[in-house]
Amino acid sequence: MPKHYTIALAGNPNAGKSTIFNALTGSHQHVGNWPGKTVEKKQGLAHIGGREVAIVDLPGAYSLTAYSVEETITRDFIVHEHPDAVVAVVDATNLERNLYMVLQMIELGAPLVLAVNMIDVARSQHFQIDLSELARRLGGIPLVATAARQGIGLAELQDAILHVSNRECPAPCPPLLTYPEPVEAAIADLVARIEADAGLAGRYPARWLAIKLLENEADMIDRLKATGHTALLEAARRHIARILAAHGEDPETLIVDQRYAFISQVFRATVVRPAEKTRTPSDRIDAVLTHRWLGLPVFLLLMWIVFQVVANVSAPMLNLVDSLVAGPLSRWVAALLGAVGMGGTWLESLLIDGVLAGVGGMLVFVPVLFFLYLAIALLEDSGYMARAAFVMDRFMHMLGLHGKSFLPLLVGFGCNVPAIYATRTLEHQDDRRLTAFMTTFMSCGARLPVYVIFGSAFFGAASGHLIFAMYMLGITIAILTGFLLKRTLFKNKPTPPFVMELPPYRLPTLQSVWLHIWERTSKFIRGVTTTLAAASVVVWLLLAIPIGQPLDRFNQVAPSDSLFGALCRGLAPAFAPAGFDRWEATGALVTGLAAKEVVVSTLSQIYVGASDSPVQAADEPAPTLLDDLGAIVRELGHAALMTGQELVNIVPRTLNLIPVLHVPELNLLPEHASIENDTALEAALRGAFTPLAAVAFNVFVLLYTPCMATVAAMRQEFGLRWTLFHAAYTLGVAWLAAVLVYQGGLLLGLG
Amino acid sequence: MTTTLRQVLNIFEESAHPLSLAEIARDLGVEAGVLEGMLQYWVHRGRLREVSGDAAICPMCSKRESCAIMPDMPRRYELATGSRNELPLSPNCLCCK
Ligand SMILES: Nc1nc2c(ncn2[C@@H]2O[C@H](COP(=O)(O)OP(=O)(O)OP(=O)(O)O)[C@@H](O)[C@H]2O)c(=O)[nH]1
Repeated sequence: MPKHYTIALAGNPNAGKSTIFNALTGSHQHVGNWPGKTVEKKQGLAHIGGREVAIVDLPGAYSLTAYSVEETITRDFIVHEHPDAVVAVVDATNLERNLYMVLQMIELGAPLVLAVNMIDVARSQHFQIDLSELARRLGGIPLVATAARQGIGLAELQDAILHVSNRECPAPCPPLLTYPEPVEAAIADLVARIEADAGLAGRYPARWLAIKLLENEADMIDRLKATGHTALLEAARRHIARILAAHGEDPETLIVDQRYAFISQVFRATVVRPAEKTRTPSDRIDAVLTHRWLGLPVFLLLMWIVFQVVANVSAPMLNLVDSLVAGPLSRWVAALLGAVGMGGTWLESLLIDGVLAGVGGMLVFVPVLFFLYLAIALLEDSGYMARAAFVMDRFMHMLGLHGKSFLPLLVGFGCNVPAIYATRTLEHQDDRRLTAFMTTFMSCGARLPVYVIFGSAFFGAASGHLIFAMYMLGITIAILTGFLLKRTLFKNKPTPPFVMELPPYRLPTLQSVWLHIWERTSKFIRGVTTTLAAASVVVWLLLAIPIGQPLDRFNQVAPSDSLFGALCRGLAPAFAPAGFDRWEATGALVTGLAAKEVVVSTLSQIYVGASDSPVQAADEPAPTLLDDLGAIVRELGHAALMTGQELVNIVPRTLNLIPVLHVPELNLLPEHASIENDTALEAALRGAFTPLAAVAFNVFVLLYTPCMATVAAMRQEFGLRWTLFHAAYTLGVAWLAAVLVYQGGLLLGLG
Repeated sequence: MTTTLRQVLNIFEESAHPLSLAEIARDLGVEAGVLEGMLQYWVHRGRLREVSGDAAICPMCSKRESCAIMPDMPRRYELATGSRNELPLSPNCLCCK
């Protein structure tokens, strides 16, 4: 019976060891742990040339220096278990990185077979590897090219394993690698000492151990200490100190450097890398999406599509939720309160006109945000967002701004608070402050409802244009601000270019897209139900307190005669040049300082909460619960149908951007059927604003002082003075821009 | 004798900000795979450290390693001297999950 061989597979992580292991052992495997370690130990049996061979899959490691558990395990196995052959598996596409460990195994005197794996990938990427030259330069070790996944080269690998195990290879040649003279002298001295110690020389290859000692390797030193080899250790220590003093570099650095120098030489002599990296599908997509001139238009087009989705596709669901809140939900709350004898009291007013109008007024936007976050998640998960940053990087550089600034700006689309913190990734304080300054102009999710409600009230199906325009205006003002500050306050040295590696495109997975949407939407809902509920109560209270009337008219005054009305009326004239000097608008802007979500909810409280609530309006017999439920199901079906229609219509609407085209849109509704898709608030807004004033109002909301949370983050990061300056600047810019839009519009005859 | 390893360290000493592999490979004319090992060597020796908080954009976010919104930033390194501008972890920011 021939001898039972043990062979080991070693190599860098992901070089393909496990694949080779599986191919060699088939189903004869056993998985356990290395003694005392949490690292997995895989063993298996193979039949090679009629022999039974035990195969051990060593953990992936980058070197044999005991930096990590994996490295220690691999080294100890080779040193102490004396496998009959060690298959060094290397990744052919990353030879220069993989060779370091191979070199160390050669130094260790391991009976090596080199498996140059992933040769299929290397060939398809047009790497030219001179395998025989590689084998020669590595001291003539047996070398096999493999593509383990395809089973290519495995038969040759088995032959080589047998060959090495049978010791049919030439005896070890002189050391492959010689180190600088002072190191070699020290090695020679230590080798002599090691060879004089029979116990030690039997355990470790002498030259290898000498090198380890000069490398000052803690693990090896501890072991020798434990076995009482203090004289040897002392000698090594003296060599290290002498070399360091004489050459200004410790032997460890000299040794490692020499290994890398050797690898570079071998690599240059044996591998010709493709002149240009071969184009992957990702590269081909990037040729268009990040093209020097096309990149920006493509970015704008995609954003345009996103806001079409957000505005139009979400509209049917928005109307559904709105009619739910205004209709059945309000009726049910009123009925419930009536049942406990609280009907018509201030509590009913607080709940229906205050909380339900305020919070409900915002919950209406859950579908809108759902679609926004869906669109963003698709862009992120596919890898496009990284490209957007890349495209804008170039653009920012042209303006003299730091390209990396655009990353926090993109984050700002979600919420300005993390965007402020995100500026910390910039190296210079000046860049950080400048970028933070710009981020608040990025339209966050909380501002979107304002554009949606105004867009839908004044521009109907074209509301996507308004939304798109607002986002673009935000980006433009942010960049202009950066440009301005860079030339005034921050005249520092030019910033270094920003290196970014673009991840490959991938198909977004349903799970991760859903997680993104859920995470963000639920955060919005949480915010609305907590902060906003509190704000709504405060606004309701201010609206209920009468001014200039006896106090017993509490909760019985017209909004304009309330404390809130009086306060806001004082401020309102400031907005006359911008076309919206009604106190209601001012009120919404004031409460919006707390959180931008509050803008719409305040408008809703003033205009809808106080108008005839459906409870009082019911002249006709009130619908029963069953009527309500039936109606809800019908409306849900209708809304779903309309959502589908709007989704399909994105295509013709986008194509129709090309002037000569006119692609008809899908219309599932019969000609004469008019759908009630106007919310009560929209109707009220149309009575209160002209379309031009509405746009000016939106511009103001986009640009003015950010919410309290953002201001607090700003203060934490940049101090009070800077924050106050920022608040004043944003307020000023917002006012100026709103006035320019309104007055400019009037001049153009758009009033 | 000036080793390539020493040159790598010198580049960091002369730089005011953290550097990525690609940036140094350009300067030194060394293969990226070799340079990667060299940087790891200095990290093990405690002379360089990887700059944290760069893997993703929101440095405060506890999910930043798996953030999908941000591009895969290249790993960057800096001299391991002075205090590290470590940021406290916070709940996930809106953009990360
Ligand atoms: N195209 C190609 N892919 C391969 C080849 N060998 C392995 N792979 C793939 O490369 C990946 C990594 O292979 P593994 O066998 O798990 O690598 P490993 O060295 O065991 O990795 P660790 O367990 O992390 O040490 C897997 O997806 C394999 O399918 C090959 O020759 N060609």
